[in-house]
Amino acid sequence: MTDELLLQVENLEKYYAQKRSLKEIALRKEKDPVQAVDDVSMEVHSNQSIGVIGESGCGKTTLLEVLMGLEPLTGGDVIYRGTRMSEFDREDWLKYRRNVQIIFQDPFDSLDPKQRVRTVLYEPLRVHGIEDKEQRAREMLERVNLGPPEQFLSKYPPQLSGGEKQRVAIARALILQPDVVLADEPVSMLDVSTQAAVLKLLSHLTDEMGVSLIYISHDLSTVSYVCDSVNVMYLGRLVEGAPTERLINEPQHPYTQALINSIPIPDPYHERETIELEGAPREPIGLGEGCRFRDRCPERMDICEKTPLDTEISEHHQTACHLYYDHEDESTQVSTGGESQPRESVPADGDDQ
Amino acid sequence: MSQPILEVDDLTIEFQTGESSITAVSDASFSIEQGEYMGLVGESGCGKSTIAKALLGALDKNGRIVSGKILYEGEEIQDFTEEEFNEKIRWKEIAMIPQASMNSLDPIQPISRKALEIADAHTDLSKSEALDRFKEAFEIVGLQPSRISEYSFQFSGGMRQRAIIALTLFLRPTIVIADEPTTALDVIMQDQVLNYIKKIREETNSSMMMITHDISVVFETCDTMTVMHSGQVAETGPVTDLYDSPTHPYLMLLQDAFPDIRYPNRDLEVIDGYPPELTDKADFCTFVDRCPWAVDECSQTAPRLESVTDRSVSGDGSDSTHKVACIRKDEVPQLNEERKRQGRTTADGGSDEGDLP
Amino acid sequence: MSRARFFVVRSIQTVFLLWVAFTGLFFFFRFMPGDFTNLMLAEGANPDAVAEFEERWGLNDPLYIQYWRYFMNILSGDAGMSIQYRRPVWDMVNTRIFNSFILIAPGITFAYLLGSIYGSIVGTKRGSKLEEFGILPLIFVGSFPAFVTSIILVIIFSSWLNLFPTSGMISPGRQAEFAQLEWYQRYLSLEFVWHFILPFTAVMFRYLYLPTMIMRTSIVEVMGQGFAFFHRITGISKRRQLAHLARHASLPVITVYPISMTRALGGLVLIEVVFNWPGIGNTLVNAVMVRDLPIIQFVFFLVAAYIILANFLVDIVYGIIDPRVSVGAEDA
Repeated sequence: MTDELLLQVENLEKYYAQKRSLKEIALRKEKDPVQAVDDVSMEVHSNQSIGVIGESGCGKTTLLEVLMGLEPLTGGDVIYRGTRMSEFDREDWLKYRRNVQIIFQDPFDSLDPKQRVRTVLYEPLRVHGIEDKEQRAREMLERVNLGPPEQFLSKYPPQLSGGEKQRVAIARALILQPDVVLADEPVSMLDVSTQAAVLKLLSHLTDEMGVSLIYISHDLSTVSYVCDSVNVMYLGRLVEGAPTERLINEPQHPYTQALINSIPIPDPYHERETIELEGAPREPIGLGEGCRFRDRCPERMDICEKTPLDTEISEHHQTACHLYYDHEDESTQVSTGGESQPRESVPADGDDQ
Repeated sequence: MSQPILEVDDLTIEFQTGESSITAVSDASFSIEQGEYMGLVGESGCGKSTIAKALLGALDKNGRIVSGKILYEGEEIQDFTEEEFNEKIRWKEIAMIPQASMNSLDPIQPISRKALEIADAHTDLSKSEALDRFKEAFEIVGLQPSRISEYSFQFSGGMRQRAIIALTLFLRPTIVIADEPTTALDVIMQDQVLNYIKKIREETNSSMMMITHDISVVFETCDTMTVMHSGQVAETGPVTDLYDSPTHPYLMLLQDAFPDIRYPNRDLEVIDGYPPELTDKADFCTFVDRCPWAVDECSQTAPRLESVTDRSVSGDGSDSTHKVACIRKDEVPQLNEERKRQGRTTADGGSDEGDLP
Repeated sequence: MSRARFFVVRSIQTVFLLWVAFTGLFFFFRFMPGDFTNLMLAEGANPDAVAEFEERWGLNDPLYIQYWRYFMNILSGDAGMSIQYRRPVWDMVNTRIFNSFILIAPGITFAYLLGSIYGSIVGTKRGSKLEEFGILPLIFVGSFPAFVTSIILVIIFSSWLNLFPTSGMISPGRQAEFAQLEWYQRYLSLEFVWHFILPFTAVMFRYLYLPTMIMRTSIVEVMGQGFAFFHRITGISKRRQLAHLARHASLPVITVYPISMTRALGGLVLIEVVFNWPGIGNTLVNAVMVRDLPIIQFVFFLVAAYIILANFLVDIVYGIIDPRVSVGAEDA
């Protein structure tokens, strides 16, 4: 398999303007924007599955919406096979939307209850002018283990179980044979017994069809089954990224450590060491300079008032934390001038470029 | 062993929907001792929340207890009227942290007023005594006592949930039912809530029935657990017994289906099929269609809960609290071992400590 | 935002709106083609007489002076003179305005109270015959204009059963007697009540379906909310639980109250005709015919004020019931 750079996220920024009251507009009072995604960089190569984890409100869903083209970006760029999203024309968008697909969190919401499975699967094919719909739909249903296909094609979503619905959603996302699939908490609404099946299916299909996956979730334990590498997001920024096992076994950033330690272990004999984080993340408004985790960080230092830069701890393992770079010697830092380097995830066949 | 504080005995609950009826709980039995934390585990729709509602006499209008008993401190409460439940059970004896508890506070009622309303309905406490107690409860769950008179919408989601926990605690109930207390939460928030739940344990001697689909939460916080499948109790007993020697096929598969962060490469077990929809009390094992070791007999009679002879502990185990409802209970563990040996590349699932830092 | 602040802000906004309505109406009528003088000219009046008329009424003064004068006069309770009748506008409309007000406001208000109670009963009896059919008669009645209902009521209760008078506010022949009373005393008399029952009933039944339907839907929705279940399991009495639910469910009903109050104005004239009610409707129609601007302008302003105040009242009630509106969510 060739290693191709598909998606490049470059210092991506998505700010939302806050609503202003009439009075504030009249007085020309500016309000700080909501910094949903801030200076996020990462690369997606072919046949990669990358996880993005973080608490709700960390901006992971916004990141996905921008990548999907549902929300316009406000800074930085997304580069798809060499073309910048900020310069996409109609043609480019059509191509992009065909090749980048999404699976939503809630299969109960993301399928129209009044559309048969057949209609759901034909729709993308119709939009992109693809013939032999029937054939493709059947094949796809078989691939997601919904057989026999005839039986499912004429069903309505309310006649399906949660797991079956999510399989239909996966089939819908994969039927156009995209390059990249974005998945937003695809199993969080499912029962454990079904969850495992959907996770396996997702992992298996992306391998088999050569599709790259960006999987966002708050739950590292499910992400770890599917993804080769994981990025950790906190308040709009990526704070750490590493191959999955390395991240789980040697988390560097204090936030990642807390996140991993707060996952309960299905073992009554296991005494989990918890790092109890107080409170919740701040509102992503007026964040200013400094490490965004500093108000909850157990390792807080004075230097944390300055924004930490990305540091390469070992190969493919980066973190943005003051604990890990020598402040005397600026040369140890990966980047200079406040711009973070694109996070490289493990390329599929180790062929680093 | 003393008399359990709560005993559910062959409980069957039905819901009337139009012409037909659905059996949500079918001959379920389990018990909770004083001070004990029990996890009630199962998939959505297995009847675990229905049981919780029945304990408080708060089934939906179309639901009714068809047969069986609920014994609270030895007294049968299943036929109590709404007034009797108000007077004898609700909140003073059994209190509940409802599912989606973030939306359980009345948005147009200050939280302290709710507390006073509850105190007024169940105690002789004066207004100031009740408020003092409520402030204490607020402190236990890490909320500022000065904020008791605020409205729920002035609190964040996590704080609302803690306020509910405070309301649950402040009359010092004998049993607290927590219905999916952490389901909608991020791991960090979940961890915070679990810590408060552990704290309740230190501060009070309440028992708890924790309803969840997440066995890892039960393994961490509970003493005993009861596993349900489609209205039937599959297995019940101390968590360590159920962890060491799961005996019902459902629990075995469930354990292997559950992701464990320590073993990201372990193959996850898939439980095929779906639980059946019961229109009547089940006279068969509801797991039969999903069970890899089902035999004809499984669909002919509903298995009874019977004590498990614990393989890891010597003794005959006839009075063991570890019980299972499976007619092949003596063969299944063996069969499971064989299955695992046959070509399954399951990671070292038996070791206690993983390779966490 | 504190509650007190909410009420102060709303009051200021209301006063501001009243001023906007007042000013808007003033300039609207000033710039409207075809005023009284044009009409005089069109009917062949002597241009000199018209000029003299304009001079006398101050119509040649700059507009802002006219506006200021009118504004100050209104504040001191003087709404000008009727051009047609040469009588002070206020004297002509004061009792009539009140007659109209008392014809619709109590009827609609009572419809909302009754509808809310009936709606919650129907809503809580889910799946019963009452829930299925309980609202149909109300929709039937509500689908007719109020004057049709009025005529039917008059035919049944006045003509056939002879229980109530067919028309008027006070029986003929007793006008003189009532003229001597203080203005409010006549509304407290049995005589008035006897005349009032039919029009009141007509208005009430016409508007009963709306609050009933909203309340039914609303209470069903509220019963499904998490806090409804929570109230139940905390073991508080049934009565208290219902009180909580009703408080919530009444919110959407309150929202549409001023809409009904406004809509009722549309049917007002016809009801007044049917019952021969000495209300403002007749006077207004008359005034419009002859372009008697002082009357029209003042009545329009009163109507605007009535709508603005109805909304204000609702805001206040809403703010008292629902703290989310008046206290506002703060960041926790």
